[in-house]
Amino acid sequence: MVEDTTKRNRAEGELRLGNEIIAKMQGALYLVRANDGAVVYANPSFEKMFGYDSGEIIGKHVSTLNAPTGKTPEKVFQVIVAELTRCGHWRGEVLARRKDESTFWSSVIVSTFDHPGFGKVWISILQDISALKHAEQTLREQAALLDLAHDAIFAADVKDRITFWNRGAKDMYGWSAEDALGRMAYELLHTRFPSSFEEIKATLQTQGEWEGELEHTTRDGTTITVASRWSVQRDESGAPISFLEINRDITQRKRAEEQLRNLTERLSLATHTASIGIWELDVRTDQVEWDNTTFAIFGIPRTVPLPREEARRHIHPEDVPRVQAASRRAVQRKTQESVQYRIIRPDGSVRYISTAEGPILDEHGNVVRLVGTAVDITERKEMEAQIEASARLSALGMMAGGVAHEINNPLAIIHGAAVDLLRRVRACGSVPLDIALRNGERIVETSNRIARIIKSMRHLAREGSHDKVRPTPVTRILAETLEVCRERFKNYGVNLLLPNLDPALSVSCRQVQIEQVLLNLLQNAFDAVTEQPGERWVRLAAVTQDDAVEFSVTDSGPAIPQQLKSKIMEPFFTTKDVGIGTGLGLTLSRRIVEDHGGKLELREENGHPCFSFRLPLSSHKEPYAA
Amino acid sequence: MRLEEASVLLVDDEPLLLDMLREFFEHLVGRVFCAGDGVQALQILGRQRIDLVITDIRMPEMDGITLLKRIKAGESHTPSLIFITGFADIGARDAYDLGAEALLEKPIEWDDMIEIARRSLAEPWERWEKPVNLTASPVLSRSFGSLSSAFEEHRIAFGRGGFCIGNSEFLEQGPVNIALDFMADEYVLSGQGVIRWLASEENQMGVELTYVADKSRARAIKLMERASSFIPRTTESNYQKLAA
Repeated sequence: MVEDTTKRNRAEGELRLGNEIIAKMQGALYLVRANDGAVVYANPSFEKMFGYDSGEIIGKHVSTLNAPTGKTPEKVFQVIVAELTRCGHWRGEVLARRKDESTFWSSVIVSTFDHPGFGKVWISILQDISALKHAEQTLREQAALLDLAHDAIFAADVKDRITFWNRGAKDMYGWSAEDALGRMAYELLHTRFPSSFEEIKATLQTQGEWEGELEHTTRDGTTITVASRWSVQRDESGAPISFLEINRDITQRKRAEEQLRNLTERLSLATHTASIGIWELDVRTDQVEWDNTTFAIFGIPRTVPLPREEARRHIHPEDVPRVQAASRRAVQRKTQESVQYRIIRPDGSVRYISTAEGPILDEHGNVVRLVGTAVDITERKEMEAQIEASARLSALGMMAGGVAHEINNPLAIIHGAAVDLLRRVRACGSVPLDIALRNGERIVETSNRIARIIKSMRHLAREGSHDKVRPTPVTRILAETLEVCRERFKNYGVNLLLPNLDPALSVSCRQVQIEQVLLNLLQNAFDAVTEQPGERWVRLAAVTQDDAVEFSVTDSGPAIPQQLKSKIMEPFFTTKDVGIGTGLGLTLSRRIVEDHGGKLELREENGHPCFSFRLPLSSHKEPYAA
Repeated sequence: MRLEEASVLLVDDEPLLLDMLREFFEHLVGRVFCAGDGVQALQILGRQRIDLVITDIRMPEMDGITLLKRIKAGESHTPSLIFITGFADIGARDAYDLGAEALLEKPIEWDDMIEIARRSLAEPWERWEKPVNLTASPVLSRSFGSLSSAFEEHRIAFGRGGFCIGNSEFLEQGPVNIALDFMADEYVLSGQGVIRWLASEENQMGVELTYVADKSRARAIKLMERASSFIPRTTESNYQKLAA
């Protein structure tokens, strides 16, 4: 008995201890009778956790404690029962339901036990893991956010093994998270470091982060350049526990940068080789920046910074207003402008410069800078002047050929009159007074005619571009022009059709230049029709249209073929045989007409080519007389 | 016909020149008529028998070439015709082909004009009987198998006053000594002439005969008298007429 008592005492003592442990333990413990699922015991922690009064839960079915998730509480119960029946215990997470219907995630361990009083029961020990679950959820959300980032983001532990690999990393490198997790990052990605890995590690240690460019090789073998940011996470003691690496693919940018650099180098080489100066004007600071070529063109040593005023000092004083006007236009109208001007080099030589400039706008559309080119066109100018001179000479040559036609008839008259006088004197020793008078008058009258022709020719051979624009009677323009070509038309049987003009009709022009244009058009028309068989005519017209007079020259030749129309006014274009014409006539004519504010146009008149241009009618109120 | 008996029609659109031509010819020829252009000239030709027309080529209304064509087309007597032109190079080939006897250049050499007028009124045997000194001038020397083969092959064509022939020697305009040998015919046309026009692209030239040696003169006249051209414009043109 003693033994029994001792035994029983010991057993009672153990039971009390057990009860006390159960009552005091943090975890919720409850017993469920296996045959009906009713709760038969719940410890105080349970009652506190679930919000029940003492003993209140006893007798209720266990599924009361479970909230519906994807499955119903009954289904959860069946799953657990099945597992318990199979192997005697179950472990899992359950969404628990408090008395007030609120829920929390719990971790549950269930095992079976033969209770002396209740028979077969399930012992459930349950812990509130809602805080953990919440943290997990947050983590998942963060990971999902990280997946949204286009950057490759991955984490590695202190042994450089990858512990996190976002979707951006998968997209960038072609390795999935399964491929990457646990691998050494620098091995997987064949990282090429700008300095050594150890140095980067050291920087991370001391500064907590590192930034730089790395080269990685993706799964398909492509090498990419990334902008990389590394940071370190530490525990409370400050010891590193993981490294986070965020990489952005800058391969395209690098390539673009490279291309831009190449392009800039090439452009620079090209502009240098072509002697094209590049300059920039900062509109806000009025500072000018020139490249070396521009300095070379201006013949001055490199100066930085270069105030605009200083740059302007090298421009020919007469041309400064034009240069400034062009820049002003470019800024105000935000347009591309070009201007030709002269500069004076320090050695006193004058060079011709051609500039094209355009505005650079900020994001608000304000002009912040002007960028332009500068090309020395002195040689070109000289060549143009030579070509023009030779074109004028060639026109003169053609006119000289024309002289023969123009003065042959009058010369024949003078010659005839003189011969007649001589013959009479020789035959009779004297000349009757009336015959002498008549022949004398013929000689004077005809000499005057020749003098007029020569005067017109000299007049027409003048350069004329510096003459003043004056009101000029149209009849005078036509008379002077025709004086030097009328006979030629007659000699070749070309019918020259002329307008009947009001002698008061006047246009504003540089007379000589307009006569040159008309003569050139008449000459072209003449050349065109003399090549043609059949009827030959050239019609010169001057028609008043609104406040202008349209001059036109039409010839009986066939219309100019479409493919020649656009070329016909280009320099050096000619359809004439070698030696006839320089191909500059129409170009110069067009220039003269454009200088007069008009346009030399080619159209068709009843299938015949017609060149025309307009000059403004001159008002008689103008201060200077014609 | 002698110049002193001839009726001469002067045509020029330049009134002063026409005036002077009239004064010049008035006491040299039988009768003088004047016209300012081709139309007036044709009117006069319709009323009067004219032996010689001296006309400008380039005139308004109707030019000299057209006038000549109209004269040729007319049924009445065909006068001799001399052109006066500012430029002998314009239309010379056509003018001679149409039958003009001469082209005078302005300013006019009045004495030459009288000489040319005389010649154009004269018969061929008179025209071609006097040689001039041409020792310094080039020689146009050509051999042909026969007259007929030369015609068939278009190597020469005769007009009333000269011939058209290929210019293989690149001769210039001006006086030239002539020796044309037609072997099968045992005929050598020798004499003197003046190259009146050159058509360099076609390599042809027009030669006026000014003298034909006595022994070849009669045959030359026979050979050439039927032609309507004074100098044909190509070696091909006259052949057909001769053949017909």
